[in-house]
Parts: sequence; C-alpha cells; structure tokens
Amino acid sequence: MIELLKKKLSNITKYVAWLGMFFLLAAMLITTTDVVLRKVDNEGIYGTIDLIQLMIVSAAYLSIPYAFMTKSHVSVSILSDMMSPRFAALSQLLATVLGFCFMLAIAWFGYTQAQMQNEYGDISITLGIPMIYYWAPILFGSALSAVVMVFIAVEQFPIILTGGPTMSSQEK
Amino acid sequence: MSSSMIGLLAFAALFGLIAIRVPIAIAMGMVGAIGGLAINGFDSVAFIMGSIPFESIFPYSLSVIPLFILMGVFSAKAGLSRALYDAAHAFIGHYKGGLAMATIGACAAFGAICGSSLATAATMCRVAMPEMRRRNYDDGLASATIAAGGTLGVLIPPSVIMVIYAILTEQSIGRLFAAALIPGLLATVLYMVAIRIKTVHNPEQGPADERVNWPDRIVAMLNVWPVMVLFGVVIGGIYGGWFSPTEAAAIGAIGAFLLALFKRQLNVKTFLDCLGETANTTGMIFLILIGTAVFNYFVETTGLPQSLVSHVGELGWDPYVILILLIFFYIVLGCFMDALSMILLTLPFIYPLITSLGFDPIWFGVIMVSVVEVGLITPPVGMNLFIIMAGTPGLKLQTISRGVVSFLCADVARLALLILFPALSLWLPALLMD
Repeated sequence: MIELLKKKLSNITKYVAWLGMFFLLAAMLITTTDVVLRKVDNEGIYGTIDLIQLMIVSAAYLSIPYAFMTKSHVSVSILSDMMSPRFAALSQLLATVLGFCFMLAIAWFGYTQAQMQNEYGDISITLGIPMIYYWAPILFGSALSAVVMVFIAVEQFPIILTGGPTMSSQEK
Repeated sequence: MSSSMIGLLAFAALFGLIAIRVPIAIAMGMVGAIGGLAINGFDSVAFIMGSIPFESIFPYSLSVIPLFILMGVFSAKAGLSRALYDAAHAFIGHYKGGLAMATIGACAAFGAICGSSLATAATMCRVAMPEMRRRNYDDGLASATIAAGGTLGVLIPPSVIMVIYAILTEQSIGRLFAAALIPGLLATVLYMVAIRIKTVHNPEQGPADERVNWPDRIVAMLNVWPVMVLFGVVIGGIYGGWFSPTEAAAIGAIGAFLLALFKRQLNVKTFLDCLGETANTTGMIFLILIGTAVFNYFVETTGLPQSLVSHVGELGWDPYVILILLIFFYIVLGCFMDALSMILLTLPFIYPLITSLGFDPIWFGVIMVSVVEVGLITPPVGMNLFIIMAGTPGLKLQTISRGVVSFLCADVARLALLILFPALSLWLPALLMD
C-alpha cells in the first residue's frame, strides 16, 4: 500500500516537475526569440517580462515537491549520521512536520492573498494577465509539497516504532 | 523579552534544527515565521507568509538562476568535458602531475560554461578519475584535484551562486562576473602550482605521461571550439552590451541544448533526465530563497544587523582584522554547511557590516564566493568530496581529505592575494563597464 502510494506520488511529483521545466524551456525560447527579434526588427515580443515571470514562478513552485520527494533539499547530516536509526527517524519526522507546516502555511495564507488579488482584479503590468494565474502554481506546488511531507512523515513511523526499515522497503 | 533576545534565541534554534537535519530552507522559514509571530503577532506573520512566497520568486531578475542551471545541465550532458580534458592533457600531460593539472584546466574551462561546482566535479570525475587511476596516480591527489577543480565552477563566471549574491545585494551581475574572472584564473594557476610542487617532491604520486605531438595537439584544440563559442557568446554578449544576464543565460541554455543534440547525447530519456536534474536544483534553490526571505523579514524586525554593525563599530578594530575574522568564520562554517545556505544565512548580517566598514560590495562578493567555495572541499561536509566519493569506487574520505590539504593552501594564498590586491577583482569590471 505504502509502496504503491510512494510510486504514485513519485510519478505525480515527477510529471509536475517536468511540467514546470517545460515552462522553463518556454521562458528560454521566448527570451531568445525576443533578443533575436529585437536585433533583427528592433521590436521584441510584447510583454516578455510578464510571460517570463509567469513561467519562472511556475517552474520554481512546480519543482519544489519533486525536490522534496527526491530528498534534494539541502540539509546537514553530521549529527544524524551518528544517531541511532530510531533517533534519526525522529529528527526526520520533526523535519517533515516543520516542512508540512511551512508549505501548508504558504498554501493557506497564499490562498487568502490570491483570493484577495482576484477580487480586486489585479493584473500584470504589460499584458494584463490576471494575477491568479501567477498564484495557481504557487498554491498547487506548495499544497503538493505538504502532501509529500505527510507521506515522508508516515514513512518514518515503522523506524521509530521498531528501529527497522521504512514501510516501503519492508513491502519490497 | 526584547526583540534582540528573541533574535538570538531564534538563531540558536535555527542552528539546532539545521544540526538535526531539518532542510535549511524549512529551518529558516519556520524559525522566521515563529520568531516573527513572537515579535509582531499573528496578523503580521499571516500577511508575510501569504506575500513573501510570491514576492521572493516573482522578480524578473531571478529568472537568470534556473536558466543558468539549465545551461549547466545541458553542457554537462553534451560530453564537452572529454574534449576539454583531452585538449588540456595534450599540452601539459607530459609533465609530472600533468594529468592532474590538465584536470584543473579542464575544470576551469568547463566551469566557464557550467556555473555549478557540483556539476563540474561530477562531470570531470567521470572523465578524469579513471584516466588518473590508469596512469597510477595517487588516489588522494587525483580525487582532491577533481574536488578542488570543481570549485572553479562556482568562481569562474557564469556562476549561479554569484548571481544569487548579486541579486540579494542589488549589485550588477555583469560587474560581479567580470570581477571574478581574474580570481578564477588565479585559482586555476595556483591549483596547478600546488600540484606541481606536490609532484616534484613526490613524483610517484603523479607520474609524467607521454608527450603529445603538435598535430594531435591542434586536433585536440579544435575539438573544444563549442566551449569557446558558448562561453564567448554568453559572457561576450553581456559585456558587449548585446543582452542582459537573463537573456545570456537563455541563449546559453539553447546553445548548450543544441550542442548536446549535435553531439548526439540527447534522446528522450536523457532529455527528461536533464529536466529532472534542473527541476531538482531549481526547486532546492528557490525553496531556500523563500525560506531566506521569511527569515530575513524576521531578522530585520529584531534589529540584530544594526546592533552588530554598531557593536563592531564601537570595537574600533581595523576593518581588515574584522574581514579576516569573518573569513575564518566562513571557513569554519563551511566545514558544516553548503555554500548557498551559508551565503543566504549570513548575508543579512554580514553585508551591512561590510558596507559600513567601507569595503567594495563587488570585491567582497568575490571574496565571499571564494571563501564559501573553500567549504566545498573541507571535510566533513565538503559537498565536492562526497560527489567524488560517490563516483569513485573504493575511495575513502580520509584519502581525499589528505589530498585536499595542498589545495586548501592554494586557496589561502589566493584569498591573501585578493585581500592584499583588490585590483585583482576590481580592475576588469572597471575596464569593461565604466
């Protein structure tokens, strides 16, 4: 069950990250095209900055859950390497609880801000893109990260209880 | 309890959380939020938590970061490291320690198109380590050479860490890149000198290889044209005024992508691998930026940076004594933390102090990046050491740690030169941009 959930969550975060990276590729293409057009025609793509900002925000926030899932976020492991598996799992549990709180707080309070900006009809400066489009990847990425944190926390329980391997590795 | 006291307690909590392996971004973000709650109340923190995660990612100038990461990932995949290594080897491989010096040269050239220390170290490890082992190089020297060479990826522009420093301190990215170029070349030369001295005294550690004839040297040189073109377009474009750093990064990323495609290194799987690798690094860096932004909001409300500046001012010490103490502090901190986290965690305090002492922010940026780069090869948490160990079966931390000592001496010598002669950093930006 846990193994199946891990596989599904890994796939979801990976596809979401790829989606984010396609936004980054789009930003790369738009920026380059803009430069070329400016040099050739003296007139670039209208509203490039608005588009790039939208794409970079999307790329960043859609990548964060994947980085959590692959445990790529930077941490210092000197002390935890010296701890017993049970204590290391406890510190990992604390890290995931804090991570969950942080990402949930971003999603929760961000939703309030997004809703407010939507009600006010806030738009981007040049192209007039509704700001809610900028908020969508932020809210989705942070909520998905919180879900990943819950999963990683659940994974720690068997180690804490028995000092043994994670549920997913037991199922393997 | 006063704001300053809450600030100090928060710092203790932050280091405690980091020590028990809480991701640095999360530790900074949560300590910042809880500390902010203690000082400013719920409404203020609710507003900050709702707005900072948007505002800290939204600025257009930040788009340069993932684009340079993408460029580095495609460059690593394009297989250019082999050509660079062969070219450097063709010219200096016949000296004692020549393969190691060639590795440093190749790392420097690769750093010029990559911008990431870890990517440079990982890529060059695959190319250079088997070669040096085959030629009976000492494992300590060989592995430490790659680890030290990898740090050139951070120093030689374009460099992601420099971009982040420039953005946070509101300095010009182009100016900082120009300031780092000569120190980067100086680091390359000093690393080679360190290898030379070591192998002259211990010839068995780095035996000389056969001399390569001139026609083969020319062929090897011709094979590195893509690197020269890519570096020339990206860096030349910035200083030629053709495009901004963000545009240079986008063009560099497309160039690296096309090179990887042209060299038949890209298929659907490797392309998706590249995207995954870029997503990992992008997600990691941007979450640290968000955590840092929340933490910085809290730090500003404690008034600690201002207290630090006024306390240090009251001491009446020579600014250079303070600078040297700071460098020592960073070297020690670098033994336990990674470069990016160190910069982001300390910059809110250190930057006001440095500017209040009258130091040039661009010059200090180069010094700071140079110092945190030393942390990449200092045990026990030298990230480059782990990268090399992961890619080299049977290599022990003690072996590689023994090997890095001579490179650390080279780093100290470089730092001393940069402090004694600020023109090493400041002459080129003045020439190119004033």
